[in-house]
This record gives sequence, structure tokens and C-alpha cells, in this order.
Amino acid sequence: MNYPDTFEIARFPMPHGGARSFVPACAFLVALVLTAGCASKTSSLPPSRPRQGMAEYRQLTTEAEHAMHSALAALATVSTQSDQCPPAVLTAFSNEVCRVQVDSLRIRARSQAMLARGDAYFESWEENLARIDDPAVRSLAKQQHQALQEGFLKVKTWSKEAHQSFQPFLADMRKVRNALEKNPASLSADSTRKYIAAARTSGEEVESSLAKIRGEVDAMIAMLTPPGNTPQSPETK
Amino acid sequence: MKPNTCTRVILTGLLLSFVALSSFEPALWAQAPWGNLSTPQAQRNVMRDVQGQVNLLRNATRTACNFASGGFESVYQQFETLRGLYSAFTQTLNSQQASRGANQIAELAGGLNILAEAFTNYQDDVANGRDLRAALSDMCHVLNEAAAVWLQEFNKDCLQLRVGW
Repeated sequence: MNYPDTFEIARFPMPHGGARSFVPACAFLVALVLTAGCASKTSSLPPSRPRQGMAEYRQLTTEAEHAMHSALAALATVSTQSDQCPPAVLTAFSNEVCRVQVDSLRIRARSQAMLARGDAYFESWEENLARIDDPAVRSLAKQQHQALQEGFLKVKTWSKEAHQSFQPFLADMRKVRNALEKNPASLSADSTRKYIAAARTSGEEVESSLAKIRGEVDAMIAMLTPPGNTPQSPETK
Repeated sequence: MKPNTCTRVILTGLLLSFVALSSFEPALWAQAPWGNLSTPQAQRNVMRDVQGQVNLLRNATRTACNFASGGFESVYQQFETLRGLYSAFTQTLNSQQASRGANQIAELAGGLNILAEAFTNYQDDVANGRDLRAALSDMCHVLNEAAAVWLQEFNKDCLQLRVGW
């Protein structure tokens, strides 16, 4: 059997365009298919509004502070009861233990990302900042690079502190709840009192760290605010 | 059939199969051994899988307490599936999305780690003698609400990174 060699394929008669157009047509189709995956519109992501905005971070911090404040208030209500914890107080306290876990999710996730990525987190954030539309803010970000980096390091340190205090806080809150669920009269027990005191201490440490983060974030927002403007995040513009 | 006609038919068939395969199965591009050539359609598919899985997880948290047994396992299984799908989703991002969204991707992964803590808390509570139903109910309550928050963040990030555009 005689098969045509590679060069002979070019001489196959074609209905339109003749034999010579077959190989280029094949090549074009293959090239089209191979490059199809690369022709995504994502090649031009939005140039401004970096998500890692300071305003959003401030908002998350404030939300977490409110959640911590509510949880500590519920703990205080429990601790002021005389011998026995009433069911309504216990239910409210139990709800707060759940609530603080949900309301702190976003800031804890951000803290984890900051700690996991380290300097790369700040670099990514700064790169996004450099793509902001407003040239005045871009210029300020460049000028304040050193101060922003120092601010970020402080935020990272306090985020770590908050994370380290939150774990024992939540563990002790759960211990208080579990003890009172088993026996509402255990409120006066030494072990329950110990858990209440420990939860209060670590909870206050979390609150303190969050307040420091908020203060530093405010300072960073001010650094990125052009003179004469009301301090706000570049992202909100 | 003449030999030259036969070769032409085979070559044309191979070419058409290649074109058809690449057009109708974009996920293949995401798995291409020569790099990440994920198409917008492939990204959309995995993004929808993740969104759908969050809903399945939330449904599981709402029904787990109705089961006499196996409630914890069913929720945990749905969560693990979500983790797997999120990992697959990150593989479909192109280099620009992965670079600009590095912080968001890390935050979403951190969010899943925090969601996973609910399972550990449940196990600790049960080990310390807490009533099973109360422990499961709290775990499901936290996971249901936390998964909704996570999904909000995921959707926001997908929009910002133009996933599937």
C-alpha cells in the first residue's frame, strides 16, 4: 500500500482554496485552539479599588470589638448571678459564645492570612495600592512606604497577640457554658469562677489588641489621605 | 478508499476531534500538564461548584440535628468536599488573578481553617461530657452562619478578581 509522505498531504485536492490551503488552515485552527485558554478578559483586572482597603479592615476590627464587648457583657451578667444561673441568662450567654465565633470570622481569617504570608501580604497590598486611580493617593503611598510598612508590622504583631488571646478566651467561655449547662448551680464552684476570671482576662487582652489595631489602621488611613481631605480609605473613593 | 483520501479523512477527523474536545470540555485546559490554561468557562464551573457546595454544607448543618446518628459525619463530609473544591478553584486562577488575589486567597483559606475549628470544639465539648445534641446544635449553628459569611467573601473576591469573565 502506498501512503503519501508528509509533503504530499499539501497536494490533496480541496473543495475550496485548493490543496495549498489545507496545511495553513490546519495550522491556524490548531493555533486558535491552543491560544483559546489564554484569551481571557481577566488580563485586564480593575486598576483601582484594591480590596485590601484600610477602611474595610477598620470595619472588621470594629465589628470584632463589638462582638467581644457583647460576649464579655454576657459573661459579666453570668458572673453577677448569685448561686444559680437562670436559664434565660445561660441561653443568652450560650448565644453570645456562638455569635463571637461568627462575627470574628473575617478578622481572624485576615490575621491568619497576614501571619501565613508575612511580608508578602504587605507587598501584595502595596502593589494593589500602586494601581489606585487617584494619583495623589498613589504618590502618598510611595512617599509613606516606610511608615506604612512599620504600621503593617505593628498590625501584624497585634493581630498575632489577638489571635493568641482569642483561643484561650473562647476555650474558657465554652468551659463556663458547659459547666453551667451541666449544673446551673455550679456558678459558685471554684472551677467555674476560675474559668470566668480566665475568660475575662483573655477577652480583655483581645479587646486591647483590637483597639491598638484600630488605632494603627486609623493612622495608616491618615497617611494615605491627601492634605485637605477628610481621612478615608482610598478604596472608598 | 484511496490511500491519500484515507489519510486526509483521518487527519481531518483528528483535527475536528481536537477542536470539539477543547470547545466542549474546557476543564481539560485547567488540568493541562504544560501549565494553567484555565478558560473562563472552567473558572465559572468550579466557582459554581464551590458556591453550590457551601449551600450543601449549610443544608447539612440544618438537618444534622434531626438524625439519630451520623449528623456530625454528614456535616464534616460536606465541609471536606468544600475544602477540596476550593483547592480546585484556586488551581483554575490565572497567574494575574493568583498574584493580585494572593491575600484574598489566603484569607479564604484562613476562613476555612477557622470553620474547621467548629469540629474540634464539638469534639472537645463532647469529650468533656457535654450533651451530644447541644454540642452538635451549637456546632451546626456556628457553621451555618460562618459558611454564609465565608460565601459572601468568596463571591466578593470572585467578582473583584473577575473570575469566569
